[in-house]
Amino acid sequence: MFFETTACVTYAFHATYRFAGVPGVLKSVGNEIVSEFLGFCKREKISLCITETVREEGLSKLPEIVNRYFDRARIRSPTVRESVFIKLRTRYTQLAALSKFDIVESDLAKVSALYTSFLKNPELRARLIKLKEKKPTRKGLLPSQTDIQILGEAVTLNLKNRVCFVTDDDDYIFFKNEIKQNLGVDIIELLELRSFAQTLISRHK
Amino acid sequence: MIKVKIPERGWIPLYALQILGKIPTATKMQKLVFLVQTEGKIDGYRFYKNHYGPFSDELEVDVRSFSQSLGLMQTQIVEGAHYPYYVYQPTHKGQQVIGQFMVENVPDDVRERAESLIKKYGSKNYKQLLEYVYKKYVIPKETFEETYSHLTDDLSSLNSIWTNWYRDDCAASFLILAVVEYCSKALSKVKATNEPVLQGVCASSISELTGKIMDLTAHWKSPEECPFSFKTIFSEISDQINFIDHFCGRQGIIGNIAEIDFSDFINEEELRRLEDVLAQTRPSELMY
Repeated sequence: MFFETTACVTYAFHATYRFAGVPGVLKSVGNEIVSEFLGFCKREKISLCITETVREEGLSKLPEIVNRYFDRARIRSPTVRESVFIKLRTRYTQLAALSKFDIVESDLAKVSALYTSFLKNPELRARLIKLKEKKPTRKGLLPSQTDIQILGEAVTLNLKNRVCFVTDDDDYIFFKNEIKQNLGVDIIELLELRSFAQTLISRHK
Repeated sequence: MIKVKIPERGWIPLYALQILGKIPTATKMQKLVFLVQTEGKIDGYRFYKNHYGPFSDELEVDVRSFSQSLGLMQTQIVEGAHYPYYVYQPTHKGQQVIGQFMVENVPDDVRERAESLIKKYGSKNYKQLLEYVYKKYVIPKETFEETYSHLTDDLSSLNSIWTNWYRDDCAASFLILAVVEYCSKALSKVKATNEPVLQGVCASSISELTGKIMDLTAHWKSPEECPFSFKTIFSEISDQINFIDHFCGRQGIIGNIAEIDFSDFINEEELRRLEDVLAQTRPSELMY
């Protein structure tokens, strides 16, 4: 299982706290699903891959994601933000440490060529435009270099092992069929992990 | 024979490194040299003891010079449990240079006093050293009120500046605002305790941290960009943050940052709003 950054970050979003002495847990949408799935992978001895690129991207993004949640909730307290951030970062690095792979060569050219080809197809181009609207800081229509790099790493690994690419990023989900068809990598949507695990179990039987 | 010119005072940190093999954290380096000089009655670096320290700019500059220009020591940034920190080690060249310097310039009785203190305090970690120094050397009860008043002013100014400079993708502004809020809360809680030792240690450690943040803030001129790389700023101030966090947690003044009780900082309605936003928003929606 190749865990892409959004999957790792979703797993990390689970922080215990105390409020007036009473314990509680803060967790994001999808956190339980990923956590359960990781437990499933552990039980079934399925290898995890979290590459250095994913690890670094997630760690650098965590503070801003924490800030954006707090800004949306209109909560200022930077100490509470830092407290949550410390817990998420610990959880994130513990997850990354489970990876069987680390530095992986990326087949950048193949992935770049695929996304560039989408620009020439009106239907696929429309999907890229829709994606750009969802990602306000994106300058062009194509995904970031890091996103391309990460998928390229999965493509390289897929040459030797069957890779399932677990993600919650629409840059990949919007093109899951094209990616499977052209690069051979299965894109697994994070919110569908429960049914994916069921499929794996029934196949195994 | 290697000829390298070092300042006369420079033998103290280099000799400490030679004896100990390595010194983890910038704070331990500072406090160790301070104790060797103070308790060994040895001339060397000037340390500021009041609002900012005991801390020596001269020592900081020498350490940089020994590491970056003269190749006498190596400085690494190591990932800590919460924040990165510095680790210093002597190079082969550094060991040769200090050996030669000691023979030529440092009298035996001075060397012996220094060696005994380096061994005595070198086995302690930086948190133990900080607590010892703050308890023994800094802020008598009578001056706590004055220090408290200066500190609350400084923290309030820092809060205004960094609130203005806050950007959600700027890790430095996020960290500094957290430290400022946490220190303000810790100070007000320790003031209410009327415990002179706790007050002295807290005020001293918060003074030193505030001084460092004031320095970093004064040298930063462009609020449009995140001012420091993540690792650099953390390494500059992480020892002090870790100490305050650890000390306040252990003394029951306020929980350490990771274990604070949220009710000290936010109300119940805010907590509910946060839970709601988390329950409605996927992290990937905020990663653009």
